Amino acid sequence: MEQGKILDIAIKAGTLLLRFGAETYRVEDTITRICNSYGLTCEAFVLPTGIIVSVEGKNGISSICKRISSRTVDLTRISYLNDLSRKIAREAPEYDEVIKELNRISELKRYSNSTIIACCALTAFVFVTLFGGSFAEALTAFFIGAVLGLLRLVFSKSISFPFIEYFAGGFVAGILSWLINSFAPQINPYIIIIGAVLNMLPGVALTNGIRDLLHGDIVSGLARIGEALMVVAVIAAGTGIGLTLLFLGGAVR
Amino acid sequence: MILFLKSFILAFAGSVSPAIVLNIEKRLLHWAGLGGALGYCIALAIDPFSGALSVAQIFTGTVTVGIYSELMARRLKAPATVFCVPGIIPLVPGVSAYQTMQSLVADNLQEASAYAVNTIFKAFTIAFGIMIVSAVFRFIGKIKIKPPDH
Repeated sequence: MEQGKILDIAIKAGTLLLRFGAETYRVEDTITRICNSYGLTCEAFVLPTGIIVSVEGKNGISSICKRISSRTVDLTRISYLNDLSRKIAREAPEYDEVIKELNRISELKRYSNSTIIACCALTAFVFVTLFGGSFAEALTAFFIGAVLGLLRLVFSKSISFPFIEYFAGGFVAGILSWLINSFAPQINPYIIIIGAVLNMLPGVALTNGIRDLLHGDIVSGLARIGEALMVVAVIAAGTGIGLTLLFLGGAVR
Repeated sequence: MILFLKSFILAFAGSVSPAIVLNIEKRLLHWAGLGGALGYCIALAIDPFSGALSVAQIFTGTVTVGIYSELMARRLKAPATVFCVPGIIPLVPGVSAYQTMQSLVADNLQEASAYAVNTIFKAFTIAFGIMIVSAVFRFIGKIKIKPPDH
């Protein structure tokens, strides 16, 4: 196979992995494994925001650089890409076959929108109960969780700038739970806020960051941990600003 | 017993529903839920009647989830992250976070900072627990003799 095609496969697989929330070492590992299995020596340098690959073969040295602008988490795609890279290492299949498989993976269906909203709502319900809230509080959280799930879908469609969806989520959760509290004083707003924003917490970024650090990818590890802290700070800021506005406006006292 | 059954079901739902939001494969869904439920119940078993999970409880729970996900990753041929990420969600220090917020709004800064430190400490306990398990499994993996064709 031509060197350019091998590089194409490697960078496509790497980009997909990074975009769907794989750890840095896994991306580097996959790219190196793909290039090696077609007989090229390869160095890959991966950051959370981009990939640089350089390969050396019969036709000299060629390299490619790819920026990644948005990252989400998709456990299905990571798992399929993992299978694909194992298959490439084992059988070294033809270019067309690999590209077809990569396209299939990037076009996999997600769960339907209503399922995702229902799951956001269910998460909020479950965690308010786990944290010791009453049934009424859990039901309120269920409702707010659904609203946050809806917000998540809206923001995932229109990419404005990063972190805005977290700010909006915190803001809405703060305002809604206090408004409900002003009608029904027995409902504790804080426990509802925590339960509802739990969906947005950056668990993946944090654990991936720690795993990267463990593998010696210090730059990516710190970047991911920084991202996780930023998300938490933005959620807190959103909630805080929402509450302050409510108190200022005199809607709640 | 009823407490454990209730926690098991809640923790199962509490890891399955975030897992769906993160788009997990259907064949792995119940395994991810089982990991979360297992971790939470073992954390609970140490001290069943505590209001919020303590650091020691969270650490034990996280290590359980970590070991479970590394084993399942080998058994079901999927990356460990797939089980690990939903599994730790029930252990998130939500109660401490909520106490922090409550005292912050009540203008009780001293109490709030104590709770905030507690929350951050617990969050890093989770990360650290995952790290330890993953380090140990990497170590074991290196000892094992590699198959000759690789």
